[in-house]
Amino acid sequence: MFNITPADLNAYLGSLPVSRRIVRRVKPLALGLGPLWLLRRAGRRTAGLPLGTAATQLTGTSVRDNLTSGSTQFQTLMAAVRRFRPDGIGIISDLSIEAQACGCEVKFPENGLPYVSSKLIENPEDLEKFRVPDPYRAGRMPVVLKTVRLLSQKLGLAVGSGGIGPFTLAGELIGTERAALAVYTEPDFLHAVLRYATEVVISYQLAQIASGSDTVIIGEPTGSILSPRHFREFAAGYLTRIIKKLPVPVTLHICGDCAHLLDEIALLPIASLSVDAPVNLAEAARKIPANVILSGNLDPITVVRELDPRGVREATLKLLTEMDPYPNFLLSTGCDITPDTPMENIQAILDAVREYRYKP
Amino acid sequence: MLEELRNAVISGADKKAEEFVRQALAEGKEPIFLMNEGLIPAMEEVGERFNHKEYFVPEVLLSARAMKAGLALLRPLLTEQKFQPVGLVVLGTVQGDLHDIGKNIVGMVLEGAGFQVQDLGADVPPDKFVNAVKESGAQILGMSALLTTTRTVMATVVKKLKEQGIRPGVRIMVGGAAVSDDYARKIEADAFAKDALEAVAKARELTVRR
Repeated sequence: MFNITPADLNAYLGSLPVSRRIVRRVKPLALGLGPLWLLRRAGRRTAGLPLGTAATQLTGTSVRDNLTSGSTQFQTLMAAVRRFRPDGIGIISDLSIEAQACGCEVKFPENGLPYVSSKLIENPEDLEKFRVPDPYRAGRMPVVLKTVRLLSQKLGLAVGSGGIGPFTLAGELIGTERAALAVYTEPDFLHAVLRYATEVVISYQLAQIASGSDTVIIGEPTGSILSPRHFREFAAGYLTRIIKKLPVPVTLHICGDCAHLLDEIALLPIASLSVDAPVNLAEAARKIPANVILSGNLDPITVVRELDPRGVREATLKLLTEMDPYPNFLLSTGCDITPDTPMENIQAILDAVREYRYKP
Repeated sequence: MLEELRNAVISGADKKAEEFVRQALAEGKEPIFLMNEGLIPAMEEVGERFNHKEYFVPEVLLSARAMKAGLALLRPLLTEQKFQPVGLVVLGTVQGDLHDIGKNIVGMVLEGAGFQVQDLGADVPPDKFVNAVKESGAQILGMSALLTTTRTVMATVVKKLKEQGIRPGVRIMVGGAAVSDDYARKIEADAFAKDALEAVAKARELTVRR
């Protein structure tokens, strides 16, 4: 049985070492604001990078190997920890897991992230046939749970995991174009799909937390295609429901340009917001509350993959300097780092962040 | 009447757009006139609103759908009157990438601007692009990629077209969030378009330049 009650979670949380319990309980302390607050006194910054996909180079494994075997992904992430000594470690982000667990077909490119290749729900009646998948059995959800469990048992670092957001999942289940049009043409159907998607996300994320995750990242990339009004109606409410159900700090990640949504996002009960390279980070910092961590947003392609280490270092220092006025800043990449990004470039980011001293 | 048709497209009212086209035709208006003065400027206005962040993807899709409803009535008449399409465009989202909303909008807007569009869909393997260009004799090949991990497929297609000696006969246009002007140059494509309106402008330019 996979239903996790609040009592189960409390028992589980109570069994944790005190330090990890604090990370979980005191939302702003987790995900770096704790370290941020301590380091701030020395004028230092921290970085939180999605290291997993690039770290496959360290273990000579393919992305696919890592997304289909929990022990392989654990080995890869451990290799990343040994090589880069990060302040926390997160699982490889894979936004096809939930849809696949619901029954969608997924395609695996040679050495890239898998994607959903079939729609599942055609009409409202279909929805009645759907059950929330059991995260301990469905598709590749158990792979993630195993990775999280191993990381949590072996590491003293904060372990981050996560998954897809409700609007993006709804887009995978009924087709993104249909989901986009549905805000006008069939809002009731869309809401029904979103309610289902929300329950899928909650059940999967609770299982991750029960497996040892200290913080979760919800990726809602498709959210950026909506107007503020529709984001409020079709994304914000469901995200809020999810965040309130999860007893750990939640980061929201939105791919692409979400600058037009910042006022709406600022109202969500998130601990942290992660934005992509097209967003002006300093402007975003002025719009979101100071107790929400803002992370971003080196361009993972044009900077992190394609420049040489010196160029990556310069871009990192430039972003750090621009963000001097904002204590809630956590340096990261705008989106996932690609599997073929040179290790030296990742090291260049971390070195620059570790050396930097800011003047608030 | 034209004003109403344009407003119907801009506000995304497909039934109205269809109805206004039907009425205008009944009143003896020329199909090409309705297209050039009604549908095309309406979609240009939609593009402007998108650029100014007044419209977002759902609004653009709704408008494109309304334009298509009107166009469906006009197209058989235009063919009958032997209006040649401005050019033939083969279009698709590259292999490994299922993001096709942007590509679909580009396709609809190109059709609205008088191009004939052969849409290969999403997740299109390189050989399918090459064969479609070879078989159709298209003037323009349009490829889209939203993921940076998939955009390399574009380079593969360009290479294959060269190998088969058909590269000189076709103009290549690329777009999508993963692509830039620089990237287009790097893979020796002929043009990069950042949105659907620019895609139309560049497609026109590329057909004239031939």
